[in-house]
Amino acid sequence: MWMWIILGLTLVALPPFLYFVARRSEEDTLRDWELVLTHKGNERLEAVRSYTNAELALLDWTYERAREAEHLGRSQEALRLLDTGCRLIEAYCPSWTRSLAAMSVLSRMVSAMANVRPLRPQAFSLRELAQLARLNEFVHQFLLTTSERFRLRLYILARAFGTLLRVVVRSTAPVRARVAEPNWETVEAARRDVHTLSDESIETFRVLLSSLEAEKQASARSL
Amino acid sequence: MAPWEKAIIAIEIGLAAAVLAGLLVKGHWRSCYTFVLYLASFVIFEGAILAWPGRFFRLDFWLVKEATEALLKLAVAFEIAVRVFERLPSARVTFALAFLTGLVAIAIAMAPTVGADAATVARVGLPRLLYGTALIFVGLLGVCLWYHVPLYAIHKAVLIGFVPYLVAFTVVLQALQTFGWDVRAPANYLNTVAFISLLAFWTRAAWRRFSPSDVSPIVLSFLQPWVRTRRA
Repeated sequence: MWMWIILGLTLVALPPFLYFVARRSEEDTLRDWELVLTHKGNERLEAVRSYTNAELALLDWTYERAREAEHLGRSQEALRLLDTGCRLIEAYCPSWTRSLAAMSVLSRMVSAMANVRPLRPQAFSLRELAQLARLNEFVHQFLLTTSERFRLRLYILARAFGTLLRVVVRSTAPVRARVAEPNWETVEAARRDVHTLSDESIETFRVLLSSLEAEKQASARSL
Repeated sequence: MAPWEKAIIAIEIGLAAAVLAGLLVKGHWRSCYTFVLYLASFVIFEGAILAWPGRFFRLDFWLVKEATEALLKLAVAFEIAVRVFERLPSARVTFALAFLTGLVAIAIAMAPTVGADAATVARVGLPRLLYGTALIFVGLLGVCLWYHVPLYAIHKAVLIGFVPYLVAFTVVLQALQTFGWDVRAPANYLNTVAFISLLAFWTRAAWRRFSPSDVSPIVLSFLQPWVRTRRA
């Protein structure tokens, strides 16, 4: 009887598993390894830095113009600029969430990950993100391997981007509906935290690339 | 042996020979020697049954054939793992643990049939061996997915072909054990359809034209050195 139960479970689980394997593009998988085995990794890191700097500069500029307009009493213009800034954050956060997920996959290729430190709660202005950083600090102590700690950091960063997005949407919804004044403190905190999260994500990517490089050299030496 | 049984064996031998020919003509045989051995052993064993049914169409010979092929299937999994994880130590260790666990599980599951008669081994031991082998193939695919390891086209075809076939074969043998010879006809039909489908799938994979990859040669020589000359 137990053999039939095992076979039944197998017949349920196997088709989606095989479908997933069959659908995976081996060419794309090979291309992902270019990041590890060629100079493309460093090129990608520079591209990410440039993209992040450009996005954050645009965000800062929009925020500063909005504050100026608010000081000068042009509240309609301030709201419009604030709305634009929030939309920039809304577009920016998911791209980092996707990149962090890709980093998580790449991190499995590394047997000896370089050491990473947990996120610091003091570095964040928003209470929700500081709590996530505290969670990172706490769980970090219980994990034994650097790979687990690295993946925890990726997970916390991805959650932090999601939380930040929710905070921004929640705090600007009344403004968009024209039913309340903007909470400038929250917006300013979100702006600072976008910078912190971006810096931490870039640092994470750098750690991953250096670990991958070390892995490649170790493999070459073992041959 | 009935004429239709002879016809089915002839079709299976023909398809297996077509897979072998495809592997040899396209040069894919270098990517997995044990798979070529597996196909060759199948052609030889089935050819013997077809040519001399009076002598070889027997349960004990069939068990010898299945045992040899089961060992070769395990060897196929091992060889593919050695090749794809050659330069990836983490993935290699993970699969080695999974492979050893699978072998131990198969040994424990088959232990009660040691010393039993051929019919008991066929009814009880063989489904467990086939299922264990299928799990080892699933484990290999799982490790490749987890570590994001690319699979060479032939390896992928072998792995994703073997898994459903071995599960189907296990279901067939388990049905014979549970319901007896009353279900022999549908069980035989299911097994024949599954195996012919598997061989047809492999024939297509073996004869498929290989399109040159635009991935960096550094990556290809690192991950798939045995196809370097054909892909460069």
